[in-house]
Amino acid sequence: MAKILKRCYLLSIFALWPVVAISQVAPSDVGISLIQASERAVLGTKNEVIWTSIPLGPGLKKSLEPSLKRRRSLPDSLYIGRVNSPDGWRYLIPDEAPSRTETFSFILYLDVSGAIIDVDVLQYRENYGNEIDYPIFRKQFRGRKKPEDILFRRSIQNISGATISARSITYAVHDLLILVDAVGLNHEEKP
Amino acid sequence: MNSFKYFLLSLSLSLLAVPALAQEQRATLGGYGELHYNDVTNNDDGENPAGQLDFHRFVLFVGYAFNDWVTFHSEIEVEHTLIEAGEEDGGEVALEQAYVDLKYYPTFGVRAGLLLIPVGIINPVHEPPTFNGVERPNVEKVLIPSTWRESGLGIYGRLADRLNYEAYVMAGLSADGFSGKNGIRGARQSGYRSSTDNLAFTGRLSFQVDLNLSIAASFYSSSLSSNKTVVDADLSGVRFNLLEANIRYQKNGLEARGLVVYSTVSEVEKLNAVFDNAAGASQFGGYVELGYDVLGLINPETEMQLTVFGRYEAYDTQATTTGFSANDAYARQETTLGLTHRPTPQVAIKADYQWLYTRESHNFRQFNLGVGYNF
Repeated sequence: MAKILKRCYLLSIFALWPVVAISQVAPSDVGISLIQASERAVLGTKNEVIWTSIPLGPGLKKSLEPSLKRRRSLPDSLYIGRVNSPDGWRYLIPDEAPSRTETFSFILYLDVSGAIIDVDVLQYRENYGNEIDYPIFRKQFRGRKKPEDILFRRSIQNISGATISARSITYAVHDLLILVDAVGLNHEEKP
Repeated sequence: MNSFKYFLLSLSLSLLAVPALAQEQRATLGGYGELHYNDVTNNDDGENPAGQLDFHRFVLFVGYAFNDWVTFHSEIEVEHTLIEAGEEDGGEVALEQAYVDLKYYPTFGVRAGLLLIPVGIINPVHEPPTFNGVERPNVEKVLIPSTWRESGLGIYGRLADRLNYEAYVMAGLSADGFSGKNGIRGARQSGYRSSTDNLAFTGRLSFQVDLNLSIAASFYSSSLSSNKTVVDADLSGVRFNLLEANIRYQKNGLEARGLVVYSTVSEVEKLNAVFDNAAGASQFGGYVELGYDVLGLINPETEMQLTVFGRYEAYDTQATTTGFSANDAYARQETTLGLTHRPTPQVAIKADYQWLYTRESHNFRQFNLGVGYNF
């Protein structure tokens, strides 16, 4: 009996191993077609987005994690997309954040100086809280560069009826800015 | 001993894997719950029961995303912790929502299943941290009988920037459950083998005016011309119609909400002739609530909240009657004063005191304590 249970225990460990490795949300997980539609809506362009995966070392992660507001831990890598637009290079960072009971995806748009251009919600599955995709909420992020400028209910006002999602996306953007602050935007593309 | 150790370790690791696997499969799990303490401090009837601790609601949400635009949502509830055989006044296990969404476009989606009626503030969103007061406002228990749900199908989406709509056709009300005291509360079929003899139509428009202000209006209309228990009753032309509007505002620690609801029953005398339930020809009610987060005054940096609030409600299930005099006991007014502490937005610890009085001068006072959460 003990042997069988010991095997179950070992099998449980093997079943868990893919879960333990945390990864950043890849563009393909968010949906390439959704990203293309977002690029057209936000930047007005159809240019190809060049993606770079930046590894985040254990030392860097450990130093940044105490500053996080939404995530408890950092991913092993960060995906940053770069696209040419009439106004110059623009950077796209895809991510996911929780709504009331589900998860929604969004893209953080930055300019070359690291200032936020927009925060576009790509896919919001829940029936309540989708007010975070309204321009009146999104425009609060524009021009902000520093994580400390992204504070829920202070610099970023709540939108009535969407408290949980508004707080969630605000802190998710805060955490992404911490990462950008640490690793920068300009990286050589890797195939 | 070793067997037990490995069993525990396997179980723990398996449980750890569940949410991760659920994420991989795009399944989601959520829920909410609320524990209440109610103590009647005065009742003119003389009935003054001892204080009661009641884990009123324990709810789990389960959802699944089949792909980018086809999703399933559900909510299953245990009320009052348990159901005992032979106990009429016990708890219940109920499916409160279970439906599939087909979101073809942001502007147009189709929804089918057991749906919440899109009326009021509390009925569509009733997680305890989202409202002040241990108990839900009574206007949204009696005139809008939350949690009000029914099987049906319909459409939803965004009509324009900040303007959303929902419109459904569903099984209607059960004519025999309509009463003078509780209005349509007993007439809900709640998706339990719902008769489709009476069909209902309902819809809602909601508009986000700006970051701070949102408004919504809704309607519900159900035929009552047929009844499954008294099949030969003459109920032709009997229909229930309801209109509702609400407003919510929040800015810098201030929060306010208000709601009005008005409903009528056409040819109500036919309904009363068959069931003798003294149903009113019309019902009217509303409430206003004001709250302020005082913790924000002391520490602007904190995310915690301590909201002091007051709510006034008035409602009458026999606002007008046909063929008999209205019962003054059904014209009710209530004042609630209390505190809501949110250590984080998804947890609320609540305390309030309620004064309830009727037009016939019956007074009732109650102290409430509660804790609620959602995730």
